[in-house]
Amino acid sequence: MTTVNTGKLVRIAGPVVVAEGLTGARLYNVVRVGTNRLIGEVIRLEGPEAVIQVYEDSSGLQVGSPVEDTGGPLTVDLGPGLLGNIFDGVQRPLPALAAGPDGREVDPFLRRGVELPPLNPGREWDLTFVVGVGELVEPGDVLATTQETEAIEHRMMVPAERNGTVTRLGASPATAADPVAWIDGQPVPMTTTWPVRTGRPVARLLDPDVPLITGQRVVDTLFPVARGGSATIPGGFGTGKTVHEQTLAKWCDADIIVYVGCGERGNELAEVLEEFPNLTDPRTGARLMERTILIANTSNMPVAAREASIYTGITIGEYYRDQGYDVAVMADSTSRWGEALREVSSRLEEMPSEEGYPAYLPSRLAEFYERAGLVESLGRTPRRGSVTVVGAVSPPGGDFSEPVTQYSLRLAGTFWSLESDLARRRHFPAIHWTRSYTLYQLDDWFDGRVADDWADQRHWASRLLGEVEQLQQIVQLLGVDVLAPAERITFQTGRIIREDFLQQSAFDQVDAFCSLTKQYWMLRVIRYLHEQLLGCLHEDTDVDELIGLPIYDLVARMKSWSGTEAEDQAKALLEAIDAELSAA
Amino acid sequence: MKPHTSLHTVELQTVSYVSGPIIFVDQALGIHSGEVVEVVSPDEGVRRGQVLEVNRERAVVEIYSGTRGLDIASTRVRLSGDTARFPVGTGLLGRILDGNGDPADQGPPVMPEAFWDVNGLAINPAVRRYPSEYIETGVSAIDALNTLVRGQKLPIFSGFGLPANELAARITTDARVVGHEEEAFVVVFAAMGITHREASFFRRHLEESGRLNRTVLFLNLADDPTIERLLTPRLALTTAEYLAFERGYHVLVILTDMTHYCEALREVATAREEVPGRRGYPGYMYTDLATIYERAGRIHDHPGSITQLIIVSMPDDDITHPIPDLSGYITEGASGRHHRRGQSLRNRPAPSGVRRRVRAAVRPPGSGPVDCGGSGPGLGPVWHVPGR
Repeated sequence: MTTVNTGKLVRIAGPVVVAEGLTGARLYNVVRVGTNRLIGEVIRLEGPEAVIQVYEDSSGLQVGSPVEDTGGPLTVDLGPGLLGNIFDGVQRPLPALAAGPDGREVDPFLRRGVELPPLNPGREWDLTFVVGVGELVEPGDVLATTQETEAIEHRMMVPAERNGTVTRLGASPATAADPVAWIDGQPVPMTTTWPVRTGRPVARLLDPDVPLITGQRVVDTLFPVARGGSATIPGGFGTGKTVHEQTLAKWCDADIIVYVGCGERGNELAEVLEEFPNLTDPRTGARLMERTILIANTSNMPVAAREASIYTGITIGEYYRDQGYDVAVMADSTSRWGEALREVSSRLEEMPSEEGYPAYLPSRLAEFYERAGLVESLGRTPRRGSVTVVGAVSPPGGDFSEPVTQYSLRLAGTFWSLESDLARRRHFPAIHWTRSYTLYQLDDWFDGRVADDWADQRHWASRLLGEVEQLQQIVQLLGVDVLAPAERITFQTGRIIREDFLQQSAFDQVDAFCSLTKQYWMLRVIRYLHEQLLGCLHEDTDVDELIGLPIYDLVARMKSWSGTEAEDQAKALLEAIDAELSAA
Repeated sequence: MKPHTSLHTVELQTVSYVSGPIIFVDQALGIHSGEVVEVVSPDEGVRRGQVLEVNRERAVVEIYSGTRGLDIASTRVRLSGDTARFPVGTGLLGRILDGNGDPADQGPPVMPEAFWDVNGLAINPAVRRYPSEYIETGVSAIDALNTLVRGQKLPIFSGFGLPANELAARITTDARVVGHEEEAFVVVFAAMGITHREASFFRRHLEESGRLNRTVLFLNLADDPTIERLLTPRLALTTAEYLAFERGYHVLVILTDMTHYCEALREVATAREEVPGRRGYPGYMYTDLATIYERAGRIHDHPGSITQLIIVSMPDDDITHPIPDLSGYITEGASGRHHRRGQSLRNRPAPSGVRRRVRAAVRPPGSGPVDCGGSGPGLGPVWHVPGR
């Protein structure tokens, strides 16, 4: 980028600085501030003055320091080499920042004003050309592919607003800066750029109708999220937001995971970095890290870059979506992002709205969540891809009435309500079974793919959990003895569903991932037992004896079934239930 | 704390406003944002301050030791040209310093080995090492239920009148890493707004245990200037970073009491007439606390570590109060101390969370994953804790 214009600083207040003399600067242009050339972005223009948010610590700047306008908005570099990498909020590669020129680790701290290309410029990629010379191409057409990782083929596409005839093909292998092909004599580089605040164009948006399978029983069975949909997980501290996000990142069946650690703990990212390279993707057998891109802006990194990190993450997600992949973007946590907005807004002396957040919080949140979607890509042979957004929310004091939670609820299609009460009782995942919801109609898919009574079973379970909730109130007041025998059994089944079905250990090797077939058969066993018990009831039945049957021990062990033998095990258990009940 | 001496110094005599901890200095064109200044009061006393904001007309400066006695006509402001730096060195071990970093034990001045920026730099997340080495504190409620590991930051949520400081003192003297007794283990203690009684308790406790020579104490007492408290934890952590990442020590940093720190933060924010957030605390308090708490950790290829033990008094025992709430979101794990029916103390495990590092910490090397039994980060693996 060439320098367009230079101005001077007139005011410095934390991450917000004001410059004058930047004539011609446009809103959201990237500027370089001070002699250290810190990265900043123009966020307001007032007559001769431009208000700039600085993505790095602004101490040491003084009135009169130079400010350069780069003439363009904040962009990300898109090309092979993104997968498995870790970037900060403005896409600086963190491992490369830590390593010295000879590749040895020299500097563990993040210094200011360091500039490095996001993608390793020296790495060579073997290209397989998909188009031939003389072929007419339009935006979105794949020009060439390269095997980015074991499982993911990277497809280099014709950038938006470029069409014409391929006049020449590039060489192979090629580096990030080399052209892939020439269209009408103009080179198309392997690495393209895209402004982060603008969504990438698509041919059309489709209605999400396929679930994102996560292997988590409470999610897949009760509150599934669609591919191309969005979900929000609010929860106070210690309720397991991060464990849940990381579990989804590990097990969900998306092709690519973009994990945005936004204003959270550095040690959590360290955990991901130590764990993911050692885990294998259950579907492809490749290393989990090879399908993951981390955007890390820990809570002590500059606040304005935290604001940008979410857009950086979703833009990278959209890029892979356009290649025809299913992408899941995990944002942990959107509250920290909202707080970054608030912090910058208060430095701008804007009129605060609810709880000090700026009045544009809901529209900014909408801009983020609405970039999720199942799409048909541009190009002559459209590809289907999706971006699913999962946003964690950290409400202050665990109070869901605060603005970020409320606006997220308005936008997200699935709501997983994490309750500190459940977490305290060691019920994990602490997703509440009656307060959570999903708005995606995915029953048809499950009925067609897993079992034709999936939806029926799912509705039975949620109805029963609702009933149990009401019985719970009576039991708390009057004790369990006042319940009618049938209610006693319902109450007991509710407990079985909670403890033996909804609870799932993220750290148990077998239980961490539960296949859809296993989920179906587990619930089927519970329902069968419930209905058989109800069928056994007659006037002189001793309910205590029924709900104390040893068969419950076998039911409690369903979690340890391996995915492949779940159906056989379940059928055997159904027979055992029959045998035990006829004996009783 | 002595700022750099340079061959020429710029002195301004253009103070235009004095209120609370804040002064305005007019026509301060050469002043840097975040710069440390010395303010010479009419009676020639020298105080230190830091530039919060600069613009064409003036600079906003917070004075750490208060503004009492300053005037507009004759107060002079001396620029240092640098952000706050602290002279660190192994000579600090065994010393007692005040909240400003000046010796408070009648000892000689400390020989600096380096001058480090008190605000530190963020650790690159890509080179962090995940905390996994168990620290035995000798307090069963922590060891068994809320295990402390090297590189962790563990908050203790306390109530007024509860002996959180006694707990902190005990951990200071008893903590050890099982199997690594010979390793260099030191304690940096930062007290913010504690009373003389508490301070002398800590001093006596350390002297009696013979640990004083492996400890650095920063004491900002309740009657010391409030704004100084904003500096104290940063000085302590800068010292800790030097000892850990330059000298290879395992450093346990004890911060008590962060509630007083946050109140000082609020005082400055109010004096600057900022838009208040929850309960009057500034909207950036999360970020500010994070710049303190996130300085805990371990780094690949570096032998040392920084572990934090943070004491937070919950006003009215309310864990949803902004200070414990935000602290809880940044720190890892929680230990609660509660008032209950006249009993003076309960270290109650119920509302405390075990973050997952426990798993890694208690797992014998090479034994593979631990079967937690229950769901999630439960109490399953507690029994694997190696005994004394």
